Amino acid sequence: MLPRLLWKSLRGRKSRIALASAAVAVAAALAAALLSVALDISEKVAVELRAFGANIVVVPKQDALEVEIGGLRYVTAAQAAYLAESDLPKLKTIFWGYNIVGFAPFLSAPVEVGTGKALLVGTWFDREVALPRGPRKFTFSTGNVREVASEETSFRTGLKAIAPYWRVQGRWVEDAANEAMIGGALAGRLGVSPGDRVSVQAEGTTRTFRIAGIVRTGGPEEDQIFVDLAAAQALLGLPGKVDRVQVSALVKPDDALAIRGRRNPQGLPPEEYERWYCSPYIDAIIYQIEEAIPAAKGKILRQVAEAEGAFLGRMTLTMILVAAVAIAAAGLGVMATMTTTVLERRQEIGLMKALGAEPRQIARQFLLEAGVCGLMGGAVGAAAGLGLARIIGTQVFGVPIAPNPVTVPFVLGLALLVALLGAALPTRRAARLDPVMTLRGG
Amino acid sequence: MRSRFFLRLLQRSLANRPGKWLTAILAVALGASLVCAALTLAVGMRAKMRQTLRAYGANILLVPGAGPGAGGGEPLLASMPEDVLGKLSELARGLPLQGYAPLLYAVAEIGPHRAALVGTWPDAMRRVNPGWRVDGGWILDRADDAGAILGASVARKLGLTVGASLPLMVQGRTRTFRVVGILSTGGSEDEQVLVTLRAAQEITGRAGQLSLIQVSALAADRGVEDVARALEAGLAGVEARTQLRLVMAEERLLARLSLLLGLIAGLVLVASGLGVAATMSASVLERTREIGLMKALGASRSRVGTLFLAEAGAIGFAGGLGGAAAGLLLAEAIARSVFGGGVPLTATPLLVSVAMGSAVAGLASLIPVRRAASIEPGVVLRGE
Repeated sequence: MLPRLLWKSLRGRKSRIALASAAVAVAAALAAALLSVALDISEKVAVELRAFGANIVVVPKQDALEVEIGGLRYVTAAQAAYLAESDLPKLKTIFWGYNIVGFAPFLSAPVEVGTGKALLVGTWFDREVALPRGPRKFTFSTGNVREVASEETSFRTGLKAIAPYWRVQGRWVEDAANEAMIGGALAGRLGVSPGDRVSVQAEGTTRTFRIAGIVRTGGPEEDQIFVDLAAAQALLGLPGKVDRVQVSALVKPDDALAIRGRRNPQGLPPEEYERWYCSPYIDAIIYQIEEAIPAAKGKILRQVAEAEGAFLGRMTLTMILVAAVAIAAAGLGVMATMTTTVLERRQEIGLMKALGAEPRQIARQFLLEAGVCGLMGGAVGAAAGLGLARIIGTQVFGVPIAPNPVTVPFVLGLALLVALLGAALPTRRAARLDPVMTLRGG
Repeated sequence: MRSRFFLRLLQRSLANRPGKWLTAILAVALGASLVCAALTLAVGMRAKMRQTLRAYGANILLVPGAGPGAGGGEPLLASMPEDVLGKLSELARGLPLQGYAPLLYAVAEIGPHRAALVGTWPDAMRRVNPGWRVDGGWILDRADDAGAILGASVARKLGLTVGASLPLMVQGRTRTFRVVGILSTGGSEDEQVLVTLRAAQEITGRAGQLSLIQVSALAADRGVEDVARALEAGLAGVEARTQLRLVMAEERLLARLSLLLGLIAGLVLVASGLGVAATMSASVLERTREIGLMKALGASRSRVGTLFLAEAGAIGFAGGLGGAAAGLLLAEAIARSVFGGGVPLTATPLLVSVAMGSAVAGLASLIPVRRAASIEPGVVLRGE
């Protein structure tokens, strides 16, 4: 009896059911879209934040204090220490190697450029790096072994990848052997422009470079001249050496565990140590870099890292709050619609009672109807919401937002719950009414 | 006479069916509150976020312009006259500067070690870098020429703590400072010793000279560049360098954020519009008999249509107003929990949400109203 009643009711009242389902669907779409955005935004913004440039700098481990003024290192000959260029691919083999989105080595020294002094910087502009193959295994003292697959066999990186904020007049270096880029202030002092040639003299050797582009950053780069690393190594007589590597890594904002692990990660209990090691905190990534290249010391570019942390945390929290509020509001809206739908049918309820239906039977039928609306609307809405999230992602970040496995079940459950709740209250009231009153039209 | 009758009709319709209208008003209000909150945040967060990011250092550097003071681009050799500061303090009154601090660089020897020495106005340095963490105290007075702040790495390397005495030698001149505090920034400051500008000038023998000036400008959007140009124009012989790393990243992120919140506001607007449309058409359906009666008593199509549209407008206005107020509170609450301070409340989101509430309710009821106006009184009153 009940299935037939339900079927008839659903078929005979197509427009009303459609209306209620549509209301649920609209709310569910909103909820699914906002939830997807809120859950994925932290990752999207983390990628976006790489526009701040590198957040880690790797230098040779040494005993002496570093004397660095305005990006220039003042080292005595006895202190000079270097890293091996051949160690660089190891940066991508650490546990969080995937999160290293770019790095660039540097070798710098004061030289004569044209008629004046300037800092020569050798670097990779845009380089394809071959990576070691095969999965990497990490064993922990808890007995767990974590394996990281490595599908990447090569990695494209260099200055271009870690300095998206550079404003270049002219173009980037293409012919690595003969071209250079020059800082804006230095170019102004020398009176050169792209296409001109400059001579660079160091250790008695002179070489001429064609200027490909002029760099504006507002930072120390303004007074430097950039050439390919190999050219700088040859000029300075330091083959295979680099003195600093800037690394751009996707990191997770610090939380309580990150702060506990910062000073002495090995002092953490084994489970916590494993969790710390396997979270992309900036300190964990530096720890892993120092493990992979024992001669290296990693330093956080704190200004960049903290500004990023502040931004990421706040943006994520804002989105979560907005999504929560919107989902609550959409839920209230659906409840109101369901209530209206039931209230409209008070006469019908009266008739059913007059014909001998029990309040429980009536409630069951109405709740089933509401459940069907909730599920149908929820399913359609969740699908539409995922589509909306994709569009939002593409519009805002240029990359679609990945659907989270939590979203669909959560939205379906919520739609069902809200539809049932919205229908339950008025149904109970209507079922208790005197049929005579309702049938008279009161 | 007729308009008074119309108003009474409208008023009675609204007064006699409070439950029905409350649902519609609620639907509009929910939508309006979200739109208003998203818009307020989209506008207010840019300013808030910009302020937050200002905690992380200067965004403009004033360095000696091309010429003998430029020092070949080496900050250690660069110098400009201290008089620039006087002119800068006059200029600063007309510009959105959070603070500025002069710096003089030198390399100092501490026993067998070498470290970078920075002379500055300690109080101004704190204003430019409010995010710095300091153990112990800070040099409170620009004239406290004996106080020094040690970078954390220097302190660790030398084994010095707050209160210790620190002999510094620069170019053969020795002077003893007292360690007032220990600074930990994670950046190059960790390897520096910070003293007052005058002390640094005296010990280096560079009286009246500066290496550079750090400026923190709190300007909107592309305004940092404008501030830099204004500073350059006002200060002869000085080059103002915008720190593109911070400025461009900030702008790019803030633009994304506003776009995101704007899109959400649009999405919510469409969703709430559909909800209102559903409510309005349900209410017209329910009142077919009433409409039939009105028409039987001689009401014209346009009169019935106007009555319903006016009702929808009233609902939209009431819902929009209530929703906008709630939305401002929401935005305030969200901003408080995210930034620990409210967003500036502007009139625009409020007006936009009220206007939108009315417009959405009106538009959403157009179709059902047309249907209502073309009801055949004979058919309806017979009870079909």
